[in-house]
Amino acid sequence: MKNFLKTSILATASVLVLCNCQESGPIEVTEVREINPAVKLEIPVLAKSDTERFRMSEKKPQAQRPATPGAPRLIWDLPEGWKEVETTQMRDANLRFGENDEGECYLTKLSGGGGGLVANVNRWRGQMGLPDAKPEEINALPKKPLFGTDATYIDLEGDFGGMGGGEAKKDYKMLGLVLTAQGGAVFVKMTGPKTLVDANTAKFDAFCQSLNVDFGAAPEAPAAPAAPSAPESKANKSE
Amino acid sequence: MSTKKQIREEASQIEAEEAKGEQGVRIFYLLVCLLLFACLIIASRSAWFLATHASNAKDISTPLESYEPWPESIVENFSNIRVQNGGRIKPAHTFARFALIQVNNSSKARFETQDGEKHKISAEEWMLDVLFRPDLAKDLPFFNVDDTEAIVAIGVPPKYGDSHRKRDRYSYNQIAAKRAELAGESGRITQKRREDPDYQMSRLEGITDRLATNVSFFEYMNGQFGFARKGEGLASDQVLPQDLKLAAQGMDIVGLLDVMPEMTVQQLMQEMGREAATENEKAIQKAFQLFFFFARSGQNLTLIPPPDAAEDQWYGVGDLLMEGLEDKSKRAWVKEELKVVTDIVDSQKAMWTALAELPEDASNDDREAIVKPVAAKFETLVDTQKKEAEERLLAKRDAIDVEIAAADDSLEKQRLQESRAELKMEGAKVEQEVGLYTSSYFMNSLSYFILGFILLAVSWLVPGSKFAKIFGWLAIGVIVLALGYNLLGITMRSIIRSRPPITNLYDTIIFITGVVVLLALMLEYFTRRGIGTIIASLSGVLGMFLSLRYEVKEAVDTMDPLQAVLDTNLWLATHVTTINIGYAAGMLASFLGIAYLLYRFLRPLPVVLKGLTGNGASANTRIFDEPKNVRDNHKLIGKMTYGIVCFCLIFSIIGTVLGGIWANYSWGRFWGWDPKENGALMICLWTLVILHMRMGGYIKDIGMAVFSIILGMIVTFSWWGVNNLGVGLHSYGFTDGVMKALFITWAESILIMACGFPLWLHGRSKDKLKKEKRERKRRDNEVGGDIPPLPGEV
Amino acid sequence: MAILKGIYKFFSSFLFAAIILILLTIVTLFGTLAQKEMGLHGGVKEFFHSYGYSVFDASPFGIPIKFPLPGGMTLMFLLFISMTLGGVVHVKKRVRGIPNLIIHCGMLFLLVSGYITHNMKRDGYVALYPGTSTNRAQSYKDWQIEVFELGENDEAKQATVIPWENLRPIGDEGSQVFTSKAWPFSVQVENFYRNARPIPTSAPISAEATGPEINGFKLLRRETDKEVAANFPGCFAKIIPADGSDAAAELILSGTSDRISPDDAAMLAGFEFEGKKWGIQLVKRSWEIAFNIELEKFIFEKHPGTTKAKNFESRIIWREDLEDEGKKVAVRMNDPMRQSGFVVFQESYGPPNPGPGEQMYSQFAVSDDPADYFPLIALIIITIGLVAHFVWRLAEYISKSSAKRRAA
Repeated sequence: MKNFLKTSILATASVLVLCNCQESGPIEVTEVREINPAVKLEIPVLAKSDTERFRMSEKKPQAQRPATPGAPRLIWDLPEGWKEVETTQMRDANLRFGENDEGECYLTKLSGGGGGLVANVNRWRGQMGLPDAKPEEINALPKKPLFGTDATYIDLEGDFGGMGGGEAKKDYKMLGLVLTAQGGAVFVKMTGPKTLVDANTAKFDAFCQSLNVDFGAAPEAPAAPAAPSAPESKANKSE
Repeated sequence: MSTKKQIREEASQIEAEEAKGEQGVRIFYLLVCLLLFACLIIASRSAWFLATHASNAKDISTPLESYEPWPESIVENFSNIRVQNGGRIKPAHTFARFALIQVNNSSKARFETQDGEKHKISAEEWMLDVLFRPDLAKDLPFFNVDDTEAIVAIGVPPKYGDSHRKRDRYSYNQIAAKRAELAGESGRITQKRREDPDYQMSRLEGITDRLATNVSFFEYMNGQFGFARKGEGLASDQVLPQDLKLAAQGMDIVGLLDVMPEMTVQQLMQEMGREAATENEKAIQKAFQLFFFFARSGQNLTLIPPPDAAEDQWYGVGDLLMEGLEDKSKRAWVKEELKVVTDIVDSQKAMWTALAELPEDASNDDREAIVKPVAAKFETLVDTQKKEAEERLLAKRDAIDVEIAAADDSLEKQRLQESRAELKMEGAKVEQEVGLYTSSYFMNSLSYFILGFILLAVSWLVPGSKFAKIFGWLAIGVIVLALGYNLLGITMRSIIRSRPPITNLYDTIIFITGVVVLLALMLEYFTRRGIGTIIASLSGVLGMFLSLRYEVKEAVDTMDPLQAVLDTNLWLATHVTTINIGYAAGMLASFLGIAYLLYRFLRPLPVVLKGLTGNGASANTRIFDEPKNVRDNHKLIGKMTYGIVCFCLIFSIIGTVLGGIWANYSWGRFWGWDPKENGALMICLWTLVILHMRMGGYIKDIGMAVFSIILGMIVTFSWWGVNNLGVGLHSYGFTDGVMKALFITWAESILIMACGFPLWLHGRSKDKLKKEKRERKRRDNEVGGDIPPLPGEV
Repeated sequence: MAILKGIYKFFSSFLFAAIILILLTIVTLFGTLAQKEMGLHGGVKEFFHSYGYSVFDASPFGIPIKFPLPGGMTLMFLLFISMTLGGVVHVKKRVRGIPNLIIHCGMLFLLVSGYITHNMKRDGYVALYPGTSTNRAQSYKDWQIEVFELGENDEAKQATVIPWENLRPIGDEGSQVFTSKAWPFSVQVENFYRNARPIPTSAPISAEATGPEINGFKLLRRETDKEVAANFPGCFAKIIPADGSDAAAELILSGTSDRISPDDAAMLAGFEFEGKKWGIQLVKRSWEIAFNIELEKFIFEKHPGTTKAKNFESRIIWREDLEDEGKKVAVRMNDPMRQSGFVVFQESYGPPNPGPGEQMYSQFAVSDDPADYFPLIALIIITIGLVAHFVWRLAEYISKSSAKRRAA
């Protein structure tokens, strides 16, 4: 009995000791991977630079859905250094800027009132941790052009609490344009750290100016009469 | 020294202790009974509220003078119209039913006309009014709003004054004045959700959002056939400006098609937005705008199959107008199809006028003469749809045959042949589906279960008599009938969908109810004590009621097709059915456990109450002492519980492992620790716990009852709780608000389990008593007689 | 000896079995609740695959307490012991008890098969655009470092691999030296972050990164994401000559250099050593499948008028040698291909919301599991046992009670 106890204690101790031993010396690796040159997908490529390797260069534009031919499209001039990110169901234009993509700028539109100018401006103010402004103050805000009409220009500084939970990001700035009309509303909104936004204010203005709608090809002309092509085919037949 | 005196002292000591203990026990007992009855009251109050929810609207009056219901024949034919919705072809009946449930929170619309008559119309009749008597429909109160505050927030005068959280029903005209405000509120909410995909709407926001969606939906349905009404019955000013409304009077939209140039919808929109200078241009522009408006309104009711057999997307009347606009060559076909609809619109209008002009004493034949041709037109529409469905099937078959002949490899051929075999005529089961709903199998089932319970209750009035026996048999008969309705309903649904019986959460409710009742009846057959019948009837009532409420709460068609990952009949038939049988057995086991505990715990209640009023005879008896027949009864319940738990074990283990095999065979992992899998595992584990503890003698009847109630809690967790965790493959049964109900049931279960504790104590002291009796007998033999009996001894 | 007998009695008792089963139920319950916060895999790792103990935190549910629970694997081992000793060894060998024995054997077999799968199964995926092919499957979440000797035209031929088992223990602060017969140097891997991103030093946020700046980049550690697929590891690699002198090269390796979409190529970081060019990369663990898979066609259908996918399936050609003509097989949801010990499942597709006419790729789950058929066999054994056992008991009960009724 005593022997049994002694041996089991020793065994347990040794196991524990062994398990806790860190492998501090070098490890020799032997696993090998052969590349089959015939299977292209498996062949890695030597990157020309770290930027390419970390996939930080101007990516090929996101595979946008090919627009239905003839459908009106939103077009703009992309400011230098800004990136296009994939549009979402709600964001018809979705851009990022800043080295770590902390700045974002996007366009949303609503058919229907969307609540009106005052409600939306105060909602943005709430997101920036600011109290509501009075309707007179909001109506007196400066205007800038958007899609050829006057839109209200918003310039807010504060702590950006975002749309959901999470801590507010300090020293943020928000620029925006709100265009409300009978049939709906358009919002262009830019948020980011204050210094970054200040540095990009001119680019924001340029971007907003460049926003436009491309209505697609003109209506097709009625089918051309056969006459012009007839001599050609006759010529073919005679060969 | 064990003298007589010492023994007598011991005896009186024990007596005194027990008397004190008894008092405490009695008080505790009465408190617990009070709690139980409080639970019962709460439960029945909620049930009553839910059951009468449909008719608790404060004010269902309408400004209408009177209401002429639609003739039967028209309603019947309308129900059979085929509509494509939710990914399948369904009858207009189903479409209307769920539309009304979505808007009105009930499948019937109730209102009171000015002449004092109360009306209750079905969903199809409501839909007929919405489509064909638009102005009338706008005055019917069917927009269910769950909280008065939502109505107040948009500026509509509420029916409940200022009280919050009151729900009521409003008509479109009552809301129409504040249409813009409603749109504004809803737009705000939509914007918030767009900006933050994780945004959770508050309760009020949810109600407002739902109201806005419903009002929009109504406007579209209301305007579905607007194109054929020459400007009558248009929706409120918010939807169409006044000048356009004027321009629409008398305009023949279909006729416009003849003169409009060929253009795409985008080009039409451009034209609509252009600056019009001359009167002529203005008129043309108005015409364009109206054409666009009616085309847009007419896209929700997709009842026209595409002429091209290769296409699967059906058209609404608005879609047809768009098609005709874009392609001149299709205009003849479009006009032909639309003529059928225009015909119906015109003829039913004429019918109502004629019916209104009929004198009071007009005979039925006169009415029939007016109604019949209109009903015939509806019937023609249905027949046309059936014919077109047949043609499409043949054309599809021909097309696939051509492809099969042209296929160059066997895989392609095989796939095409499988597709060919799957080809079905669209809407073939529509009449059966209408029959399913009009037969109200599940409503009938519920009614007969209730009747069965009442008959049972009556039979208890005079226990043991012939009267009781007759009523007992009647009750069983009625319960079997109710079960029959349930099973018939399940079978019809399977046939209509060509699928095994269980494919979604709604199916599980009706199926599990059926299995529980069936098993309870089988138990009754083997034991013949009436316990099975009681449980069968009560479970039936509970289950059928739950299924009806669930259907209304979810407000979506319960027969829509499945996602791709579930689309496999073999595994659905085996794994899902087995698991659900396991769930049913688990629920039944917990009902038996509850029956056991309540039977033993509540049985002494009348005696205890009598004891309170001073009838000293019972003051000294232990309240839980039981005569032999009672003991036999509860021992039997214990045995039944054990049997059902074993049944649950078999089906749960087989079902769970089958699920693993399905998962491994189809997508590569036998077990993924998915919450639903974990729930099923917990059921298997717990039934094994019960089994092993019983075999080891650690639990007997009381323990069995308590552990089966825990089993019931685990089953409900696996059935309903895991869907709310939002994690893993199985979260497709959307069930918010269910968590509250679950917690209440669990709390009540725990309360009932607590009733087992005093019973267990009683059992232990009974055992102690028995031991002491033996001891005393032994000492008695030593000492020699003449010792007073201990309390409780006979 | 008495102690051993006592131990045996305890482990083969009903009480022990019941305790283990109760503990398993409790752990399953709390593990499932925890999955809401920790994600599916987080909960599995913490509660179900753990050996010692796990900790359940009730604060997300409003109750600020934490309590320990036994680890899942430990419980399953104890269950195995209980079933073997109590259900097989301890029972009296009678005919009446045979079905019970069969049930226990079936369950034991199921547990064993689960253990084999847990340790030996490889789960990977293959994503292909039509017309492309591959021989390898990639892991969803394990990574490895590959060191290539490059040829004259910078082409990669053969790599020596530092496997995941050696990388995982390094951790955020650790460091490990690797050698190989194929290398004239050794590779020291430091600071292996589970989730990190390389940040150019021009970005202000790079100030938060600890660690050296290399070639204008710093490596910024990030919180491990709940979504397994969103974690890209990062580390530093030093190339150290055999004589132990200063590092010949130091590089940042990041998982972002691996293939992102099915038509990408993985990007090697290059360095020179003694005149030769070498490449190194941190990529998803991959292994060779027994055959080459080529996607011939991908078919995708939606339910009409909805966004629900009705059916999607792939036509693949599999070949053992690249020169073979290969066999064509259809792989569909719920209809995988089993070949040479591997199973190829139609798992999903991309991009998630394809526009009309946009080219789609098909994604297959490829797994190989020596215990693939074992659960099915276990089920059959268990079912036979269960049904036999309970039918026997039921028959006994019915005959007993009808005998009682006849006597009464």
